[in-house]
Amino acid sequence: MVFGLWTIVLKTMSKLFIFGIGGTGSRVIRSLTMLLAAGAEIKNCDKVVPIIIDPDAQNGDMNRTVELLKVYRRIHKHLGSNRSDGFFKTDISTLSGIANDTDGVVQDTFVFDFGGINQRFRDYIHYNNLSPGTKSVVDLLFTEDNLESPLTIGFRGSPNIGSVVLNKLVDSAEIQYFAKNFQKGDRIFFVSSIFGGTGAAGFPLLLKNLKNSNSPLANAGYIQDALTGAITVLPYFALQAEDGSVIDSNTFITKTRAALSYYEQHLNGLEALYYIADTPDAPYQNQPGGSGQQNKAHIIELLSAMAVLDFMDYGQPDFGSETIYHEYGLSEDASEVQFGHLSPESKDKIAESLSRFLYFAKYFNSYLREDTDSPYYKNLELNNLLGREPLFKDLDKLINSNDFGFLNWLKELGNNRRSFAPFNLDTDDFNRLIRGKEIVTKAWNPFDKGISHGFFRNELDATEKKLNEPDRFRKFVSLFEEVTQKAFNEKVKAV
Amino acid sequence: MANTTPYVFRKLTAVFLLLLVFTFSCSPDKKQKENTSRTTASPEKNKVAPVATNNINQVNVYLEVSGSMKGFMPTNKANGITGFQKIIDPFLATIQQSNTIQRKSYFEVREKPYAIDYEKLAQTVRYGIQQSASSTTIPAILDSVISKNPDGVNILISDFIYSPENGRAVSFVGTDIYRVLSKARQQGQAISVFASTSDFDGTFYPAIKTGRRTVEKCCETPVPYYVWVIGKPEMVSLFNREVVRNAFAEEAHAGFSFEAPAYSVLDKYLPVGSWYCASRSGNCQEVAISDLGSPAEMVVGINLGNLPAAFASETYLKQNLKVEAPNTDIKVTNIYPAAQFRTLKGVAEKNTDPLKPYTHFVRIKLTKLNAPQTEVHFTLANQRPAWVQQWTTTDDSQINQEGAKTFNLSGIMDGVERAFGTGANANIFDVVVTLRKEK
Amino acid sequence: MLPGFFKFIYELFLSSPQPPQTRPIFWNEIFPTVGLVNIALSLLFMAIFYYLINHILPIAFFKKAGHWAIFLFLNAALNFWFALQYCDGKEVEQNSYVWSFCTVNAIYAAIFYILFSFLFRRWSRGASTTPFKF
Repeated sequence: MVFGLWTIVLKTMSKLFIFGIGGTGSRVIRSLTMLLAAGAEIKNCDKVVPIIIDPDAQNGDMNRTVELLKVYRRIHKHLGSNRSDGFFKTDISTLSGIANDTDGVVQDTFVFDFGGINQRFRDYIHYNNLSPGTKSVVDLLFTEDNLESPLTIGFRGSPNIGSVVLNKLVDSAEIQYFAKNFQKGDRIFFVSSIFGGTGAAGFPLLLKNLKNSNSPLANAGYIQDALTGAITVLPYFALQAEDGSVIDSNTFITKTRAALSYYEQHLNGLEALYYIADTPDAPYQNQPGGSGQQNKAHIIELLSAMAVLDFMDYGQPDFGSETIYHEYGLSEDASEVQFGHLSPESKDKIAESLSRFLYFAKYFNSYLREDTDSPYYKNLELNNLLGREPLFKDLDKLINSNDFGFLNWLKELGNNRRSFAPFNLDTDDFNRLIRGKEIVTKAWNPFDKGISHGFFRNELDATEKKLNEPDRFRKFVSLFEEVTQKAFNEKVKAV
Repeated sequence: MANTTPYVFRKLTAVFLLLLVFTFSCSPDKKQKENTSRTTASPEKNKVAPVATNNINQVNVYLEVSGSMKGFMPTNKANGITGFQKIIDPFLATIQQSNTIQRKSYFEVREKPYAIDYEKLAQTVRYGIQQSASSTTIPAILDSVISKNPDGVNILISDFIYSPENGRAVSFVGTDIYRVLSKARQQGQAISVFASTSDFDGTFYPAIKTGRRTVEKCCETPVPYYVWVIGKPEMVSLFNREVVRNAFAEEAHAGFSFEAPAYSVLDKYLPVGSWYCASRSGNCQEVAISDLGSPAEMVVGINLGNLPAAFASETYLKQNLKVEAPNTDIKVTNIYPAAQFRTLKGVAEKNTDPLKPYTHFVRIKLTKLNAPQTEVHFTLANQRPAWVQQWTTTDDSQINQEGAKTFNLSGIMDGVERAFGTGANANIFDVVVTLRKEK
Repeated sequence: MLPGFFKFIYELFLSSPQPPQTRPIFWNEIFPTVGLVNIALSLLFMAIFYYLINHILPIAFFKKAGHWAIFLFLNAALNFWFALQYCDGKEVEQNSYVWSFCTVNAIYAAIFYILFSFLFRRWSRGASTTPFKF
């Protein structure tokens, strides 16, 4: 018994730092956030710290990801971290948010601050002050176009520019702050595309600088020892060919091939590296950067986000000194991917949570306001809260925003040539919601209508009485966690 | 707020439940119950439960066949038969044929009773007394009749003209009768006297012999005769009901104790004023008076079906049914027989089933009640029937002038009443309705 | 005990029964029986609304304040009718007192129904806040 007192293990608050580099990084983090909102489980970590690295401050993909993260964080913050599972369970924090003693150097944002790089590349490298010899080398490496391009919209598919700018990243206040707060047991994950500008250049540089054995960073030892994973997204979309555009998707393969040969030799310090690719899809509108670069969510990004979950599934003992390489494959080359086309392992990770959150979202939109006479509705005083209380507004946005909302995300996923379309989004009939897993009800049996409005309402009323939770928003979310779980477990059972 | 309201509500609930319990325990009902249980006992003291009987073991019939009776049973009447024969012949036949009576014996009373069979006796009644006997005195006959068959029923048919040898003994007739009948009373017997009159064809022997000893070829008016029924009260009652029925014009009774009649205030019929029945169940024998601002009137139903018809007659009731209650001005406003009552306005249109148990309805009225409670006594006095006095004469020697009367009949009845302790003060029944002011 | 209670509550609104001769039957039979039936029916209606329709049945779409009020009126009407029938059965003439009594009985039916509703509704799944939350 005496020993018992000493065996209490203080669980350390381990964190996962995700560097989302470039537009692809933002999009994968978006999908990851959706999964976490739906309650997908991310193991071995208490806090996810996404750091989006994209010099293109106007990038549409990034901005809507950031908006999503902000809303997520507000909701999670109110719900608290003490919940064992459920929607918004995982704590997603900004870099400055991980430590309370922020000195104001690092802004409370998910986005890396590139400061004042609203200048041309020529000015950034002080081209005019270079010696004539150096100028010659620069002229050899960069075209006149490169030199004249403003950095505010990123590197526009030009890793040669990115590598120069991003090499300086390690000196920034953000990375210093990151290092200072890095603790033993924290993990690092990089998300980048191999064919872009920012990602292709930034990922190897960032990895090299962080894992450098001579690194001047604080906690360099912990950083070096930290379990580190990365996903490199190979080309999965094409761009419409436009004369005069700086980005030409026809060069993606060439760029990819070059980058891969570099990675082969120069990526040190990775425990796991995930590769993911698909044959190019319908061409995206060619927008080299800025707010115009806002691409539809793609199954590749969703699967990439699942790579993060997969990486976190492994414990320290699972890794050796060698890098483990992962690739992803569907069980069937389906153009409309349903849950049935995923491997059981993948399905387990997301099917239940996405389904349940979709039930929640559908109920929230279509049925909730019909329940004004239900005890749960009255007891929660939802008529005073819905559409008025900031948290409920946030929840509404997270579900319904045309920009970053959950339903829009699902819609986008379903609109690609290879689409992720596990749900019938245009129906409000819960029984027909999960494609390939429709719930069959018998007309003669009024006592079992599958998952219906009535089913949910009864369960909401019943659960509301049992839950002892004074906070209305927390209770509201918990209610739907419980009833959607019951609906899924009793009526769907397994996808 | 959300947390405090359920608490307040729970409190309210508790208060309500408490109130409920409080009202239950404070209801005034307990007192009511005590009252009623006390009053329902009161009628029972009037009730003398008679021994139920449905047969008579022995009936002795005594027919006086002295010369004075020959006028009722003449041997050579000019035309037809006498009223006496008309009545007594079927009466005797009824006795003879009755299944209620186990054994029947018949006697002719001469100077003493002689047993005779029914056929002989019936012949005497029908074809007249062939050989009239010397008579004996009434007390002597009675004495022998009572002694012979104390447990059965004895019938004595006679003209009851008491003619003792010593003329002065006439004055002591009451005493003599009393002496004889005291014995009957001690044996627990009762007497019913039935009286009728009959045409008379023969020699009349008056009791008063100061003038003529006899009145020949009598009489121009009918002459009374009597049937005395003596025996255990329950057997006499049974006999009267089964055999006598309404054979005789008049009757008088002594030595009976009558069962208290069923009675009830009937609150549904013709109620006036502010009162109601406070009895818990069954018959309403307790009335609560709420208010006497206006007079209270109520109808009391009473069942006189078990009384001899004489007592239940309208005239007898009007004279002798008394309703008295101290501290009130209660009075009877009317007495209705059942048939009449049912036709009254306010009754006829109602369900009359609840009236069935009662033969008479007494309507009473009061305007004041000066005590919290009072008892209304409904009493029926056992008065000597009027006919006794009417049929009495002090001198029967001029019978054709006197009419249908019997010498010193009232004297005889005095003796009867003395012997059985009945009289003006005796009641046939005394039932009580309690009135109380509503609290 | 019971007659006393019902006499008390009915005579809060009514005079003593008229005509006076009907008082015993009102006090001893009509008030207690009609009162008990009233309570029983009100309980029954409450139970049907809160527990049969809005708890046991899987489809509970009859929980609005208006639905609740329908039950309230049904209960009042049924109790009115029962009181009338019972008085008739007890051969009490249909005078103005009987009508008043039936009306008061209907009012009590409503009161009992409301009372039982608020006492017992909390355990109803689908209608624990009907007709309104407080």
